[in-house]
Amino acid sequence: MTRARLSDTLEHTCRGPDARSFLQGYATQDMESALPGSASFTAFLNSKGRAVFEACVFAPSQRDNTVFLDVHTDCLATAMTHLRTYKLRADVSVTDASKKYTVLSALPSDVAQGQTADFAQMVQIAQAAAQGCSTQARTEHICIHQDPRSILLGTKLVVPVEAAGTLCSHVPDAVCLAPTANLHRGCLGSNAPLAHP
Amino acid sequence: MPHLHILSQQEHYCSRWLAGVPEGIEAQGYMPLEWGVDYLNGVSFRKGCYLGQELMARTHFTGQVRKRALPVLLLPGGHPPSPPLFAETLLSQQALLATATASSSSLSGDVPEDNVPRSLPDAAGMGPPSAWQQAATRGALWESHSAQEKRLQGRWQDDESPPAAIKAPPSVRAPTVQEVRAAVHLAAAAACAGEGGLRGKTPPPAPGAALLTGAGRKAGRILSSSPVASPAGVTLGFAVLKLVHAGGVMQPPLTEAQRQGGEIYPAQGTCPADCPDTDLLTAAMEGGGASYRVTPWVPPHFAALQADESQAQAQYNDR
Repeated sequence: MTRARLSDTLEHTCRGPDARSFLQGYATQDMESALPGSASFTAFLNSKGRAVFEACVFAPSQRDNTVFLDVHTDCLATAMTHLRTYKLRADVSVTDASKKYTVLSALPSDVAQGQTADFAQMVQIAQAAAQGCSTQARTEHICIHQDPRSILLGTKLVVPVEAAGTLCSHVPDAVCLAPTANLHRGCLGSNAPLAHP
Repeated sequence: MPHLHILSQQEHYCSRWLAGVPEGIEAQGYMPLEWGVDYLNGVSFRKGCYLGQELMARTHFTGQVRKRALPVLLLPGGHPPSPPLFAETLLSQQALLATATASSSSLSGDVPEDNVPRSLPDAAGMGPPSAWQQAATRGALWESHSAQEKRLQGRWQDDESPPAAIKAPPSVRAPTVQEVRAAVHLAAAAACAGEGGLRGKTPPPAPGAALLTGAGRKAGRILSSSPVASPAGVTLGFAVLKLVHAGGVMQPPLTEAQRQGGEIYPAQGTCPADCPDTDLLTAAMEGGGASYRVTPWVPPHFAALQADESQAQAQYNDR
């Protein structure tokens, strides 16, 4: 059995009382008005206005001052350097959370005729699947949000690494452009035993 | 009840490609408006100062973006036509389309044989790929996106709302995995039809190493390419393109008067077969090596972008 590969994005964490105001000074998107529990997409620029990296920013709750930055693997080191360079005296700690958390992308695998897979339904399914799959994954550490860039990109799941392994073991690896016979796989949320090609 | 499917890297690349969303090194080093950060809900022009804001604001309010990062199809050049492979592509994508529109609630089994066409049309009998492609894909995927496009067009209004909490309207849904695959297959097959079919699997070009030329001039650069080619040898990729060149390969091609009048954005749809050869883009590795024919794929938000640019130009002229 092959394992599905994870989405090639990793996480940074900004934590501290100044986390939002710190990001506000460097992100293109308005961080102050970002609602807790929702994700927003932003770019971080250099002084010449060129993109250094782009990230999906996600604040799980208003209470703790933790903000997750979902950064592409290619830009991980650059992002870390950029944020630490401009941290200066802000009361913020920037840490690499890629060892603890991973990011998955998900799309609905089936939409019956006349039925729409709305976001709330997808969240329910993902939460149920994540909780059912892993005993170690705690509910409050599973963050699910719609990709803020485009609805065409589906849902993003920020899950602990150990939960991600269990989730992905249900999905055989596949190549998108392969012939039809290789394109059928099990789906999360299904109780039926999965047929692996 | 729909199921969630966790994407592999390749599938994630395909969904990004269809949506026209660059990521990582595809965006690094470029001005954000060149890769559509405003249409990906990634910028607020009212929030105040931030590092790099000056160029962003100046370009947005007074300037013109001349380059854009676009999804492209890379076709290795110099290979003779190969009808069997083209038929294989057709078979798979027609079956996928049938699957995507079927009302079954579970897809864990094989596709029913009834959904697979018994006889396959040959490449010559396909007709123009753009019309076929339009009929097959836009109804399922692009139409569902139009509501979001309309919502995003509010960026020129005074009461810009903070777009932090994106909630999809009930009429908009994410595409299914099957729809993404079908759309990618259709795009690849359409490009093949324009070429008369392709054979072989040329390794995809290294990001940044392939220079794009159109009508003998530099037109842009390949930003990335998918690690896996389709059965027909077509590779997905992202390229930053001067829009005056991108417009040349779109259907319908822009006239000289339109170009001089500032209409640099092409109509939605691609048809490489109908375009004059001088307008076709080719990519060649710097220092020699394989060459590719490049066909831009217009992502959905470009229609909104074109409308916004026209509106902004009209507002600017009225002042």
